[in-house]
Amino acid sequence: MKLLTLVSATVLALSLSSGAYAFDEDAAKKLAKSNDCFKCHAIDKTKKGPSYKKIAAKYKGKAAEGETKMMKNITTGPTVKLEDGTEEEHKVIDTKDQKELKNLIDWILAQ
Amino acid sequence: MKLSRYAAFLWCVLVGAAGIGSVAQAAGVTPGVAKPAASDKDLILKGDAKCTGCHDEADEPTGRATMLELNPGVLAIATTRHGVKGDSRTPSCVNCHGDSEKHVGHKGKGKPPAPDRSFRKATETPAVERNDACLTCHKGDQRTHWEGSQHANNDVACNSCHKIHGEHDKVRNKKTQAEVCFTCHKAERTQTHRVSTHPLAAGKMACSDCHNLHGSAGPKMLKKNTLNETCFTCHAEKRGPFLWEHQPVAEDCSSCHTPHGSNISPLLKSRAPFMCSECHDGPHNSKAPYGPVAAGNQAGFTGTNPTENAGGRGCMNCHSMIHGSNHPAGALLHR
Repeated sequence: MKLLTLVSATVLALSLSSGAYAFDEDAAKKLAKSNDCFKCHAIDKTKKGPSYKKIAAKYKGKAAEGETKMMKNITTGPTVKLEDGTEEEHKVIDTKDQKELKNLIDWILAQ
Repeated sequence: MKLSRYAAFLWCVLVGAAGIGSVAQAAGVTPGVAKPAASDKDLILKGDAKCTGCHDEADEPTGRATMLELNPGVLAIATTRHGVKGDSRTPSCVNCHGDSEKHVGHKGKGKPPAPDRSFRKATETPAVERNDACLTCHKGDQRTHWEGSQHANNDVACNSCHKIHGEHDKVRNKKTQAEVCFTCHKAERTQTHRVSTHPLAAGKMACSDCHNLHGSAGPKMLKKNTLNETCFTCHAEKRGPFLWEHQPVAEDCSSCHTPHGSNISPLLKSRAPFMCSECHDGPHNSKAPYGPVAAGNQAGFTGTNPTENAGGRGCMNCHSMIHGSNHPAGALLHR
């Protein structure tokens, strides 16, 4: 009985953890590409903006905060600080589809 | 003794440390100062960081293989001769695209303005201006007659045919060149699919074997000054000089032949005897005369059944040396 409980708990935990970052990578990359996100961001190197790995590390364990911050950046286009210290307005993603935006954010957070 | 050894060791350590420090300083590595961002480094060409800071491997169109393999992105220039760093003549991005300060300095939302010289399909950069970028280096030789050539006059730009950032420039490959030319020259594409044609589809010939696409002093952008001169580069046996000439052969191959394709082999404009009778419309010397062609009948054919020496006969069955003869008795090009 104890073993069954333990296995069930493990399966549940695994399914929940994978569900937190369930995303469509191709769709996320396509959206990022079509909106020129990769002109300033790369997955693993610093360009004008921080790498997605750096962003993911920054919000590790603080996914909700990261999601809020990123959603604000890609929907309202606030002034952001670049890696070289200068500032400019962040690009607004050209879609109103919340699912697409969430998918992109989840993909970034999973880097 | 021990003390002096210890002193020498200490001196070595101090000098060594100082040396390492100076080397580090010379290399521009200052403790406590962050390394430059990856986008500050040139990736391929000298000074390309200005462009590759944004246009890196991510420029590859979505859903394709990596840019160095198939679809050329900006960095694929490394796979071409324009990416040979060891050659001092190799240009950098700005040599072709211009300084493009407005493009580089763009900040914030929206698309940046196009570079000073853009080579995209929907570019606003005129063909002449785009071509200037190439002709700065690629002038003279085969391109001496570019100015005033049919291609130049019709606003064809170098990048209309050439792929600069790709390893495989289709137009420079004999097997694939015709595909590029046929994009515009559709009539010629159709003709090459006829029964008799030059071996373009087999990849044994390319359009550029006869034409100089960069301009020439000859007609139809032919490589040589005349059509015959161009044909004779391969068909040398028809050049002569002959003891007995067939005048149209010496004058113009296209009197009888069409270059791109025909359903009458070998590349003939019409079938014998009809084609021959266009000039030789008098009575034939064998047996009975043909009859009056001036009446509008080909080769004297007037009824439902052709005569034995009229319609349907192959002139070249007897006149086999149609391009000219060197036989003492070859006046009629029989031998």
